[in-house]
Amino acid sequence: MTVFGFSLVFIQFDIDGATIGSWSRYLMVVYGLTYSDFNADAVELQGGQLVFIVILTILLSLILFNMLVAIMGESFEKVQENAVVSESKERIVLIKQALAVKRLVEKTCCSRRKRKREQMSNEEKRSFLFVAEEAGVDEDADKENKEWEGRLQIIKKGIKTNEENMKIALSSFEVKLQKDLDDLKGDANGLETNIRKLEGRIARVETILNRNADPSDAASSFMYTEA
Amino acid sequence: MIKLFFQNQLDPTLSVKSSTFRYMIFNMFMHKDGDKVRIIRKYPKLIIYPYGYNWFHLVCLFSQDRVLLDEVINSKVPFILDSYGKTPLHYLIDLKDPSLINMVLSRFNEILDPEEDNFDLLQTFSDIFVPLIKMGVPGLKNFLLYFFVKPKVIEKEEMRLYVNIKDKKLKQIITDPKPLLRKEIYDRVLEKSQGDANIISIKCIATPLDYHPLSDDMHKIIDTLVGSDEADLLGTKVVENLIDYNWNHNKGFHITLGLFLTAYMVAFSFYATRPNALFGLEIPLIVLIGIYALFEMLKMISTGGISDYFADVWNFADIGMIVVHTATLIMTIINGRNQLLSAEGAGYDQTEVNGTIVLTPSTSTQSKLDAINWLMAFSVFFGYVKWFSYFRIFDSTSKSFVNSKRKVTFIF
Repeated sequence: MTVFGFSLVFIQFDIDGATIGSWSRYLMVVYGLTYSDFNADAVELQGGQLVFIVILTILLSLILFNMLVAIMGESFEKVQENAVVSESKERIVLIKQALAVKRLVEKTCCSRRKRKREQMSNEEKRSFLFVAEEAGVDEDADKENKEWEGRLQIIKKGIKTNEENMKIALSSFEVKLQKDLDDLKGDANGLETNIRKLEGRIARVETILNRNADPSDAASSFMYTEA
Repeated sequence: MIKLFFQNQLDPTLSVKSSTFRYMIFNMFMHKDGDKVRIIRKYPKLIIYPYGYNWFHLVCLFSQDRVLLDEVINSKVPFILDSYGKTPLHYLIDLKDPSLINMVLSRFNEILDPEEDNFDLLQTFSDIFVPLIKMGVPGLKNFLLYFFVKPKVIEKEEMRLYVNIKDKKLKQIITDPKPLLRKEIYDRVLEKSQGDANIISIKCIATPLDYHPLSDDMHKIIDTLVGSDEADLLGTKVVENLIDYNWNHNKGFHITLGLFLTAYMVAFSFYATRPNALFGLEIPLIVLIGIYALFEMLKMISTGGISDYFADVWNFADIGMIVVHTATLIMTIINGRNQLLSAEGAGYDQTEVNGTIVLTPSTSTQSKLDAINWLMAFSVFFGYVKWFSYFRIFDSTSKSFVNSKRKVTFIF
């Protein structure tokens, strides 16, 4: 579009076609000029055309530079998201290659040394790995990491931790519910037995009351209820 | 009986009789399913002597039931060593059931208190540490947090002040047979500062492993990590330091290779630009590329076959480079590029233009020259692609972005 537009601008200074010629020629000239084939003498640019070519080059470089920054920024963010993982993965692949070759060479060439090492007991072979680091490095790195980490990654992490928290909360809730349910069941059982007991008592009281209706047994029944 | 027999297979180191006996004990306490949960809840601290088993061991050994294992963890049954010096995880790893192991590992913070000193207990994991990593379960990340701890300090031995890590490095990794922070460790790791002292923390991986660079332990760990896609696992301090340690020991290999290739490419570049002056350089070049091809063959065999070899994209560059370079060098030797280029050769036509004799290459000479030129161009291209790939091995160029104050941002 820029080339097309500016070729039209340029031809205004040479409308009779005396210097360069038709518009199609100008299209090629501007095309050449924009892609740094800047040779003002060869195409004999006039005063007005020169002003416009300066504007064109500045504008074009600005637009292209901005586009570059935008594209780079996006891919930078993408790379940044997986920087730590992809870097250590790359390392692991390299380590694996070196280890595999070295082990093969040791197996074929220095089998005696290998056997010697294998004969050692586990206690002799095994040792502890000590790592000395600057204590402040971790926290600083974390802070900076957060600043630079892709936005998406932070959101992803947030969702992930949220999900985990929810899972834990849900499972604990489930356990609690189960417990409550068990307790309730126990309570219900207790209530049932209590009700049965009460029913039995009522039945007994009823029979006694029935007997009470019979006057001959009045004395004995009275004694019974007293007891 | 069949069940009894099956249970006996679990621990082949112990006699059948004793194993059966223990199984009977387990069932004596837990004859009904409902009872098991209730009994565990009521007596979480029960220990059976002389075996030293608690519920955790018994469930891992004989039950392998998710519900029971869940109950054991919920009831805070202590995670301890039995009389054989084994933890419940030792028994669980023999079963090779990733779901049960994942359950224990992912809830490890409920099982062990991170605030307490678990160093002695973690030391016993040396036999199962590598198999556990090989399991590759998601809970591993949670579990590994326990393993990067402060080593024990000998009485009255305090952290040195006004010190720096040796050789001005950001990190120093060493191995030592004893997990004690003492004078020798300080001497190996620290040096007196020149006025820019920092607070240094020395930590260690709490379980002893075979840290010989070519040992099986290291080989298995790296092999597992190559196939792992768990970003969180690679981010844990233990794995990060294991990778760093192995990298320190294998870096030299790649640097040597890189130097070899650099020397070759320099010689080849000279030869490609001035074939007349450097006549005869083809022979040493073809020897060098032969050595490199042999090495690649070795790499292919040791990484375990063609499919594994081509899993790494950079290996395509290796093969491409070797094939094209060999073809080019053989072509130049057979046809003699310098002879083709020198106008005195037989393949030139003589024509007389304006009284002077002009030599132009005949059609056959021209086609040969064209072929060699094309091959040469591809050789240089593939050579530099391969050479370029060696920038992976340096810290400053391997990272797309280095997150540290001292280092420079580098987009590559």
